[in-house]
Amino acid sequence: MAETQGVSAYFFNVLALSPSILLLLVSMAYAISGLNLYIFVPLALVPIAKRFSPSLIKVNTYRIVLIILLLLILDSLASLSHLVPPYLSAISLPASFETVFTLEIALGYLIVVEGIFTQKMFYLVGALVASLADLGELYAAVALMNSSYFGVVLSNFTSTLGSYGLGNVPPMQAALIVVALLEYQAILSLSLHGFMTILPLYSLSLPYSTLLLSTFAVSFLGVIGRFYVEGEKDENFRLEGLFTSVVLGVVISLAVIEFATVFQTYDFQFFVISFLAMVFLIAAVSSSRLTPRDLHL
Amino acid sequence: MIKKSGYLFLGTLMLGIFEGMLMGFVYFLIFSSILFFSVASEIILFNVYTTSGLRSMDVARFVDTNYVRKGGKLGVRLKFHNKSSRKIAFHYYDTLSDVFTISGPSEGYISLSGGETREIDYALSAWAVGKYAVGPVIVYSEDPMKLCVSSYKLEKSIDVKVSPSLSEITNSRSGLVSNIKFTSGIHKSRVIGQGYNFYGVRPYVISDEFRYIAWSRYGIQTGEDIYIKQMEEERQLDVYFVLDYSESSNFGYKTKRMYDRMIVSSINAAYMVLKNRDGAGFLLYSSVHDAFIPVTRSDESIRKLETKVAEIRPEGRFDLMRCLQRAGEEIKKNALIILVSPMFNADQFRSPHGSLFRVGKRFALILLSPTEFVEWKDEDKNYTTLMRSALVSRSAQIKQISRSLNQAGLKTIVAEDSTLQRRLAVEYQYEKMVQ
Repeated sequence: MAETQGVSAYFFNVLALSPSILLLLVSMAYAISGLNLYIFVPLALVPIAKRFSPSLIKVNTYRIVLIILLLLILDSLASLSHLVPPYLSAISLPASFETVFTLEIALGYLIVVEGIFTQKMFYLVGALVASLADLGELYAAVALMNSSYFGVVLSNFTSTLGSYGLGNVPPMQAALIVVALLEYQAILSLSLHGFMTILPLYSLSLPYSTLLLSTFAVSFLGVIGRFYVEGEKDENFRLEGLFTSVVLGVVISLAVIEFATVFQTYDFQFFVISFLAMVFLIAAVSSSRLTPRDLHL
Repeated sequence: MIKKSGYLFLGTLMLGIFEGMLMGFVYFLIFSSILFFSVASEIILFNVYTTSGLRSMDVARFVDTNYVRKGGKLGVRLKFHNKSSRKIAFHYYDTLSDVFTISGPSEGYISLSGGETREIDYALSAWAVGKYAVGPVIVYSEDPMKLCVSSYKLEKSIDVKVSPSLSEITNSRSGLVSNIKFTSGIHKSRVIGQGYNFYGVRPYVISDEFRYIAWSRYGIQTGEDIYIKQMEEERQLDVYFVLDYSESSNFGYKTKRMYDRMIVSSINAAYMVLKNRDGAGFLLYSSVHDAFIPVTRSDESIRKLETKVAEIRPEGRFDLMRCLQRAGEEIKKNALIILVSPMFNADQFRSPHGSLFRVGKRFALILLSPTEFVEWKDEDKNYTTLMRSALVSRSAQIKQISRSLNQAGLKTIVAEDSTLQRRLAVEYQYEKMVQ
């Protein structure tokens, strides 16, 4: 019974993470040539190694990986300063855009794989959001590469880097750096002016956009399906509650987004959506205030 | 109440909305918004709808009796009534001590339509003497997404008093097996003195009083010889069982607890004492309890003990010196005091001077070893290793305590659960012989 539930949970996890999986595949297709396989392959094997490790190592796998990575970075910094013997310099990470790029893709890959194998609902949605944050940047880079003005952006970027003596950067990595800079600019703009002026993905035409939209619909069904199979005895009662809340959620969110578009010219979308989300969050929290009876006093 | 996972879930989805907006990733923004508002609506609906439904529940508890013997069945009936007009589904459980063995549904999941009433019957059986709370009934419900929970205490608890089991003390009471088992070889010591029973005669000496002369034997051998009548003096022994009823006696596991075994062994030993026409009394002592039950030559003191132990549970700390002082205050006659204690804490025998332990009565201290009060779990090797190590250490410690107290002038013996009753009998027999 538990195994069946585990298998169905993996199935719904794959559905829920389908946008991330699509973004990973698209990004990998463009990025594979720019990857440092000596870094990526060992990291890609970590989830498999984890499953065959003794329990003591299994629970600490990512801590161990993180410590090793940090030690390697320390080793790399020491190697740059010629502070370590040659045999330690040999295993240091190359200080290049390629390394950072590889680590970013590996991070997205690890989050997606661990999300697929997770048994906890919160970890699933956490993995979805975290992987979309990471892979969304890569996807934006791909979108930027496909844009008509990418050639101009690339030449400007390369000449700027050249003035700092950093040499040539492959197109995908250059696009990723530009997207990251646009994102930081958006955060800075938000902090300074209270609204966004730069949206990395908003102005770009997205590749596979129809498929991506479908995966988000599938993902929503996957999350709701996972909620449903988590199991409760009174199925009818449960289904009723779940259905009502999903319908309400869809109606409210569509209304919120429609309402937000009214303010498009004033750049108030961010404010409107955030405000309504906060209202719902406060309503949810305040409706569950503890009473003395709750506390069994 | 939103669970921690619920807050994390909502927080993550808000992060998703923020991320979608920051990146201009419209699809992700719509996806996160729909999921966020669905989850938030679900939580609000649950809190408003289901929680108010739970508040409209009524629960009543009915029990057969609130006084049972250990091992006896106690029937409990829970009656749930949905006062509202809508369907309510919830989990329930009755809060019970681990001394109870439960047969039947003391916990479960039920759904009630509006106005529906349902009765749930289950039975309890206690493994140790004492007073234990049954209840309250807790009902709780989780939302379909399992992100929040609402629970209510719907019924006050009642106290159930558990007295010693008849099956455990029946051997001593029956007078068949027990006579062979416990009283063989015990004979009342014959002491010559003042009394009503004729013992024999002896030749007259000058210091004898005339009134004891056996005139019927006058001149029976030489014609002028005089004899004195000797009467048997009644020398009954009062035995006080002083039990350490502090928290340290509350050691053991579900089916076997130290204080319970101390009570059962003391009662069995007291029956043996009564059969020998001596008196038995009790003192349950700790910093919280001070229950003195005077000596009787009938089973009245045992009855009082049974009632008393059904009303209390081991509490507080135990101080050997204070206990001996207390026993000295209450027990005026020259009696035998047998103190049973596990002596778990160092401050229980902190008297630095041997003289302070002077009891002034015949006394024996039985240190109860915890060895036989440990539940062994063969499947858990770490637990077994740790427990063995702890017991070896405790055994050495308890032997050292015994040696120290013996040197300080207190007769101290170490006993296991299986030898406790025999130790009590041996101490009684020994004092009976040497009195």
